[in-house]
Amino acid sequence: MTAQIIALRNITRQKKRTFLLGGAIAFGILVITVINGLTSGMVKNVKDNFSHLLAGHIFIQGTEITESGKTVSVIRDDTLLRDIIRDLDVDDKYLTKRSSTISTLIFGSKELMQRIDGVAWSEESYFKERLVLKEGNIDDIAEPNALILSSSAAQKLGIHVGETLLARVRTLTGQQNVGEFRVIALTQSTDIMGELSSYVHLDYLNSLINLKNGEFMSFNIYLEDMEKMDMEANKIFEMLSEKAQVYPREVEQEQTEDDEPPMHGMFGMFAADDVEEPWEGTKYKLITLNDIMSQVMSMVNVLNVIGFIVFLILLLITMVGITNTFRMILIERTREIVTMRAIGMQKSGVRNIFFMEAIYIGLIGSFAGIILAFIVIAVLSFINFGLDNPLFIFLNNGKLTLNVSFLNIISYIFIIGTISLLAAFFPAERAATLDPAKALGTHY
Amino acid sequence: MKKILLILGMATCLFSSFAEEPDLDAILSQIDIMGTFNDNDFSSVLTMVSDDPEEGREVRKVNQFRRDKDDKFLMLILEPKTQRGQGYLMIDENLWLYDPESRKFTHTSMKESFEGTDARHSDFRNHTYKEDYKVVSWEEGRLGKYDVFILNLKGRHDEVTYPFQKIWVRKDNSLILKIEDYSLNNRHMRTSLFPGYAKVGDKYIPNKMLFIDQLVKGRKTQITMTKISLDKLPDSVFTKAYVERVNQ
Repeated sequence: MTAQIIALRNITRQKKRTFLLGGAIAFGILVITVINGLTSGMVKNVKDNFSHLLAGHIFIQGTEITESGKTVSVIRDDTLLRDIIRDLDVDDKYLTKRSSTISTLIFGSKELMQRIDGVAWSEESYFKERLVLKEGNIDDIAEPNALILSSSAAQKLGIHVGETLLARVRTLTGQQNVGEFRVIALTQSTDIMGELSSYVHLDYLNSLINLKNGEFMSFNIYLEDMEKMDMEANKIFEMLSEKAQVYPREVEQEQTEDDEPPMHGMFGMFAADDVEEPWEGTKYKLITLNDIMSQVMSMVNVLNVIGFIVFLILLLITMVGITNTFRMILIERTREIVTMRAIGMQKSGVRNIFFMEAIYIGLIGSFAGIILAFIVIAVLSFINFGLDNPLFIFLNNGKLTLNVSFLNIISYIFIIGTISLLAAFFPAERAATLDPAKALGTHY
Repeated sequence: MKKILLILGMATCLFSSFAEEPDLDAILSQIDIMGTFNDNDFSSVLTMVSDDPEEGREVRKVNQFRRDKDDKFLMLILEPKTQRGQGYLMIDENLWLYDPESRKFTHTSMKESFEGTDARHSDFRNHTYKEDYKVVSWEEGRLGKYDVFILNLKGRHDEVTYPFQKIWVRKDNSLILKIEDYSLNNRHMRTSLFPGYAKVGDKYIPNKMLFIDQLVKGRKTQITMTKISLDKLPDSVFTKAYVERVNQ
């Protein structure tokens, strides 16, 4: 107890020194906490954005070869896929069938690129419930050429509910086609993906992209728990590969300059590709949200590593600072230390005073850094970068999301505590082993 | 009197049904032959003026190189300066877009529009009407001062950009004067006019083209072709390395 009181008194006696050492530690904690919070928030936003856009966590695409030897995305019958999901008892929340295309919407002289999703409305009642409408009536979706547009897209086109627009689309093999849609409702754009997407009847979209009624491009599985994504995907892939032709999963991870993006069909950017080794029937391609995110994750990992290296460099500098400071403290307080030793203080008592001082500086710096980090995070969270920002995919409705992990914070405090103790170890050891008689003799 | 009119009417119908039907396949072949340079390389400079009711007017200059016998072409953008060096290279049945900023080639499609204009990449290669389309109906007509065949075409396969086309072809030399492009659901999408042709060797090439968007009112692109040459081009022109090199 005495050691703690003396240590506390010592660090308050040298306020400037304590402030500088604690400040360096606080800066390190601030940097690493903000970077980690930022990257973790980015990952969450990207995952949320994509899972909403693609209506699922696991995606199965069917691929067939056309008469001219090109590949097109199509699933003509989903019985096999539904059977596999039932047999494996996959923990799904809901299943969706989607056809998608990137189209140019035209209203008067205005044009806007939009992703159009064909939704089987009769089978996706939950989706109707999830759409937040700003204007219009969802019941009008019964009209075959009904279109649900985001309010911001409607604003850009200058179109209102009830008016009709044209859509320039391409068929699966790239032919030109034109759709005519009546806007029946406008959605409240809650995120960038919502703003980019429009929803129409699956069958009408199929007729435009040259698919038949009942066919679709992607079978999506929305899981109850996103964390089970890879496990469930592996199970499905294993059974699917026993019953049908499949693309190897690992091919999806690597992409060369000459390849199309592995999931280009998912975004409606389908194009007829040439085939090197032909096959008959449908060949399936299984992709998870994590596969799609692999490049984002690599970037996030790089950012985290950079943040951690900055943190370690700052700690190293701080450690040298603490060691030097304690060596100076040793010289400054030699009289005090040997006096305490002369009146009966044990070596361990002296050592503990040094250790406690180091721990206190570390803790004060850490807590100050955490408080500062939370202030920075709060300020950053309030900044609206807008939905037109090129980094929109990392944002939640134009704003940064910062996910702070308390486990990480505790581990950083532990690292700082350990390093502070190590930094103080040699000066503490020297102070503890000072010979009172010799030391006093040196001073007097 | 009624009987006479009826007989005359029937005779007219009978006569017209015996009117000589032109060799429609031969017309399509002739169109292909006229627009294909199999014996020479071809190069020119294109000036494209695009009018958009929202974006205003944009002017581009493009260097065009063609080697029809190998089905290769290269389009290099000269102007505007912000896009200078950007290239479209067609080799081995693949169309590549080169971006000098990122120094990367990306795959693109012949069916895409050229730089957001009303022209498509496929408009800059040799014609393949015989292979791609069949004539489903025809009529005779007049366009300006020329007698023309008006041919309604349907794609032979699902790879053609426009599944249906209506073309106005001069009777005397099989030059196309006008094209209407229709979508898969038969909606008129684009009108192309070819008011001027240049004679190059024994071939004709349209040196003035006008593409009018029928879906967006007021959108059109006018193309003028100058510096036409049939001089042999080095083989290296049709390579990725060349496209990269001209940007250094």
